[in-house]
Amino acid sequence: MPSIVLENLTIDIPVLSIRARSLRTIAVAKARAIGGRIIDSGSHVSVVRALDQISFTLGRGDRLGLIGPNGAGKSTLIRVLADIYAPSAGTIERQGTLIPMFDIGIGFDPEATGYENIMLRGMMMGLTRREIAARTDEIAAFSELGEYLDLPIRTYSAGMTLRLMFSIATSVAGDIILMDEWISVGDESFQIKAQKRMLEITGKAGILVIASHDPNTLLQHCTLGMRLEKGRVADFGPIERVLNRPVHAVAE
Amino acid sequence: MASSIDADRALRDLRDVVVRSTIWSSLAHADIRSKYRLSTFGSLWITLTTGALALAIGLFYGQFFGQDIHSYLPYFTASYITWTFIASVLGEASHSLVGAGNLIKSSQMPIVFHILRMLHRNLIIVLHNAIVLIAIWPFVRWSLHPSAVLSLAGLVLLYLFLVGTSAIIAIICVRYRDVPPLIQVLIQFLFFLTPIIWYPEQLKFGTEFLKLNPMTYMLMIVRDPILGRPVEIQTWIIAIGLSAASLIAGSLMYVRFRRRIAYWV
Repeated sequence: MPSIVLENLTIDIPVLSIRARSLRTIAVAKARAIGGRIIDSGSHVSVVRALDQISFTLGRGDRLGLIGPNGAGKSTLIRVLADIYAPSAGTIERQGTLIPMFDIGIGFDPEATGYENIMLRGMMMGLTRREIAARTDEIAAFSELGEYLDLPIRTYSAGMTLRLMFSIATSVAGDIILMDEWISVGDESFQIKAQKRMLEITGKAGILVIASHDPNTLLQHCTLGMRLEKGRVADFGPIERVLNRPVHAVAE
Repeated sequence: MASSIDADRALRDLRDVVVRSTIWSSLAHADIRSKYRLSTFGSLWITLTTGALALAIGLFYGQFFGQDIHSYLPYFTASYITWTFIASVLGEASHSLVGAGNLIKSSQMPIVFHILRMLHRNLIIVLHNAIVLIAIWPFVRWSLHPSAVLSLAGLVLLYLFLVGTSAIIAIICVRYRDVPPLIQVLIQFLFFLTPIIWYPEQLKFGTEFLKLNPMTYMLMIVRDPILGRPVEIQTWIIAIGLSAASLIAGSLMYVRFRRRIAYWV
């Protein structure tokens, strides 16, 4: 039974200035302190509160769409749910297996062949060689790249590369899908196929969380909506309501 | 504060280092393959590069130390191979987490894997370089004792020592970005203070200082057995101690700071 429970979750992201990144600065600051007079503490660590006291509960069948302007904390929240950012305060409890579908192109080697990249990316997703080998055929078939998979992916077109990335990312079984923008891939026929697979996964997956700026995508795939503003939950409820409620009305 | 959850997560990562070791070792192999993919000799270029240097230095520098080429050439070659391993690992450790920033912020892969991937890549290089030593043996024929296999034990110890040390360096460097150049300076400094191109027994003064340099022990346990040079039991004990200490310190540091790394990269 997949579930996600967030309680007063707060994320503070340290913004380390050039000075705070420097060991010299710290040493100099310490040396000055020893002198008895602190002229400048010098550590310049400012903190951005990316998420502020977020609480919600998601259970099986919940599909949450995150909306809000750039910098509202949508992507940060996705990364918290993916276990990448540890909470600065509050708690997150998650049950279920993740299918992270953001940044699906990171870790690919342009000089390596399609097959080698399946292996490479699979390992970065935490799969062992054997686990990847078991699903390589299926990935190859779905991507429809055929013998291109024996060529370095640097020779692929952008659409072909994306097809491969998508096929690998969706090959794992899981029940919590995390997406930063809906992925649309390839030519028309592949897009339909990809769409179908996405629906299949989101259909059987327990939970979907997607950050998007496209109201149509959200209406089509989500049941719940959450509007984030400056790291706070401005609105949370059925997606139609959250989408239709004017932004300024929220503040009141 | 959910600190026990964070500690659990870090400990799970450390357990995965052993349980899922095929992941980081395969990624290291992929790196080597990728780097030499388009060249004729492939990864043998590693061997050739080292071979050329060892030959050049080994043939000529022996005379400065009053040594016969038959003893100096293998001595320098073995020293150089081992030192290159230490130096590249320490140097690359300072960039290993910073360089993997995108992956750290997008995948569930245990962060420590990025460090081991780098380390293992360098182990593969060391094994390529060992070919040089084997290749020069028929020409120089220094006496090989059965105890030469102890070099392998030495290499394992050195590897463990570097696991801990790299973790410490990598974590410090991801937080303080002016440390990598400092590490480079330190490596340079150690190069001249470690008996790599010269013999420890030639030292007239400063032997006490040599004993303070941990690299001396870590180098000797790998290099000396294969050359038939005696290694004191005390050297082994110190090397084991250093490896254990570095592993413990590295693990503690990882458990303590793992949660911060994604914020720092």
